[in-house]
Amino acid sequence: MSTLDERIRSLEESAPLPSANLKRPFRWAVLLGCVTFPLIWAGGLVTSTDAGMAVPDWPNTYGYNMFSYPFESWFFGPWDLFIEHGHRLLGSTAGLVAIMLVISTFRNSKNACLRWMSVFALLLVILQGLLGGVRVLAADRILAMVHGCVGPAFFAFSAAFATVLYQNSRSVSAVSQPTRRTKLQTLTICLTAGSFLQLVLGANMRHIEESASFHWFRLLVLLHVLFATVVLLLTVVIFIIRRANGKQLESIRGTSFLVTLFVIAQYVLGVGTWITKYHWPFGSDQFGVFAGLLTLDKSIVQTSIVTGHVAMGSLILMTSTVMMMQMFSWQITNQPNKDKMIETPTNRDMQVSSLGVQA
Amino acid sequence: MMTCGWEVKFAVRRRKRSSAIMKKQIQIANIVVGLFILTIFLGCADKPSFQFNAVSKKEAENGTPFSAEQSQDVANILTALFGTPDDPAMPNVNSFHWYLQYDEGYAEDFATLVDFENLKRSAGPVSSDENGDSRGLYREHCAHCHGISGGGDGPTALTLNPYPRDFRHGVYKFKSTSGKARPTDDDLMHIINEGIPGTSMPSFKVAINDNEKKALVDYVKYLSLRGEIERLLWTMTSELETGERLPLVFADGYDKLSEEEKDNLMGWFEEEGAKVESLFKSWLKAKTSPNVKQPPTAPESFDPKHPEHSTLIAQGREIFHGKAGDCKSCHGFTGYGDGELNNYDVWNQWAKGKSDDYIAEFVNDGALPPRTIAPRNFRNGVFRGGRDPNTLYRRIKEGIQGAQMPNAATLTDDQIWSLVAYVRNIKSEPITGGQSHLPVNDKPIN
Repeated sequence: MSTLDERIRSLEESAPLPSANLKRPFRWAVLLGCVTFPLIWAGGLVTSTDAGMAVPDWPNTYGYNMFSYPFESWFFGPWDLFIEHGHRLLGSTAGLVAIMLVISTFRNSKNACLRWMSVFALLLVILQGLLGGVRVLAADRILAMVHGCVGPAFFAFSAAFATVLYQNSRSVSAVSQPTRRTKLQTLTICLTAGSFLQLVLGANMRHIEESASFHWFRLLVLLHVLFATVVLLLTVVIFIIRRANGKQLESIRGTSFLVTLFVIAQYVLGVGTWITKYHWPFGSDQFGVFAGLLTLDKSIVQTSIVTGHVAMGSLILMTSTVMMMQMFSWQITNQPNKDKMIETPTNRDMQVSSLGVQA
Repeated sequence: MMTCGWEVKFAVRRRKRSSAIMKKQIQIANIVVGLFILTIFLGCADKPSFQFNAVSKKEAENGTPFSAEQSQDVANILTALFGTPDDPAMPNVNSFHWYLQYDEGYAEDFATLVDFENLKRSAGPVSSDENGDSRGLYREHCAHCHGISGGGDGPTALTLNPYPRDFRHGVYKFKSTSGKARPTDDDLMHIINEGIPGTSMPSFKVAINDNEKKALVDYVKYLSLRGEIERLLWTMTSELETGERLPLVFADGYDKLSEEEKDNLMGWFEEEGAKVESLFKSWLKAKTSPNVKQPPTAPESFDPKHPEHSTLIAQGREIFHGKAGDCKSCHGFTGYGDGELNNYDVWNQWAKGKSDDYIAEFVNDGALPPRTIAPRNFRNGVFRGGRDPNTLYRRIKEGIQGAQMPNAATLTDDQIWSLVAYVRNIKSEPITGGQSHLPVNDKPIN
């Protein structure tokens, strides 16, 4: 077991590397997340208003280079053109920020994992742009659905990367690590996976083909409701465990509170989405409140609630991902030739990271 | 540095545990990715195409399935007449040489039934141009509930209550025309514009402009006509001898046929063509000379401020509960809509009196599980077709097509107005005897 001893020794010897330089890429990563969230809103609006095919060409906009499309035609043009072209411009902005993130990471860190993560973020945003473009060129709703899933995944990844950069831009003492972990780590992983699954199910419902079976749609609805309950339960359990363990789990105090808040809000938005779009599902005659309710297609109320439900789903995924990341330590060793992220000595009994990166 | 035995054991155990957790995490990740891929591929659907009316076909088969050729013949005829969801067509003079035998001028009227540009605008995938002119309107606004073929069987249908309207019967509940007459364009426009309160049918007031609504009205008529012809073709197929097939005059073109074949076809159409012709004529009549009767003026006492208004309501109450109107048998003694609850409307009539196995066969073939009618609950004060007095008068006078609401053939105008006054007032009428609701009645009331 000499290799194990050596490994344990190396872990003990390796001190975390607080790096003030990583604050810059951290700020770019935060900016990327800040740009991505309105981008997700705009993407949700594109679907809510059926504006996806308002611009038939790509990467150009009606023959113009995307960035030189006349401002008047865009800003004062039809609503769906405004939304779709705006979505493209915001997407391009996210791409530019992702490029800056890569440059900043490469300039401020020689760590291969950090560099790869920044490149991966850029690749994801490029993939997302391509998916959006091909969806337009092929007029394909399935691609629109995949596009709708990759967007939130990219948002969550940006936040995860920002978390890693945050942890490494501070000393170990500044980043308090939870001590009670194993079960809670699993719960946070399940919550993140559940949140993403909910997004996939929701995207399937929103982008369902007109010729799809009504049995399939109902199955999607039932699964969406079922997993909404699972996500709610997981959130509540995590919240209660964190409350019961006080200072030991101080680092996830904010995120567990936010996830709980977001999930409750998401429940309200989910019910609102169904009612404003499809009316009360159980027959309205015996429910006085809904008996006379008239839904107004593509009204501001309907569009806002439905798009809010989509955006809130992304926010839950992002927050649960950050919470999951906070449950692990991502400190970087300062040992020479150890260009990897490892677990800190104080937490070496932790399990390896969910990303599979280990010392 | 020496390592104690217990330290090594502890480290190994920790490593094993760590490895086991990692395996679990990989399994979870695999499940998530797997579900993601599964949902993508299961959700994939073919390019939209018109589907057979599963109920009409199965009813026509009556236990003896049609041959593949016979089914294909129906599909070919429908495609030749009406095109596809991406490339619609309307039957034209060339498709209906046989009509010319009856009425030379009919072809001109026929061309006005729907605006072909409206069809093109409503059909196909969703898109819009730089001026904001939208295409694919039907798929953007209607198909998710009403289905590509207009069968009321879109993806969301099963989760909605009531089900979306099946256009293929050519039957519409809320209209201004009498009896079985088709609705006018204005009737269909009204529903698109105002929606139906208490149902999933939204108002499209803000979503689309008037030209787009007109385009959708034409497309709905197109789907209705197509659906009615399809139902007729299934009936015709059921009347064929074993192995016999429908003449494909529409599909291959009349001009390509030999003189003998033309003569044979004419003989066939002299019998069957009249049925097709009547369908077209009924829609044409609703467009060119609809049978819309304006309700007579309401009596003065209809005004709630009139001193005799309560007397009018009392008269209405008497008719509601008495033999003259007998409204209570469906709408219940207290107006809760809890009278006869086991009846079926025209769209679900195929299930009436049938066994569970029979119904299950239809559902397996693509029919929506049948639902019984829910008579209107007047206690909510909501009338789906509109609550203005003239509209309610028309509902009582003409009945509601497709539902089991009969026309009031024996009631006088004054009696109908008193009923209108009463049903508008039921909401505020105290419930006698303390009974708020009848137990669910699943027995027919004769």
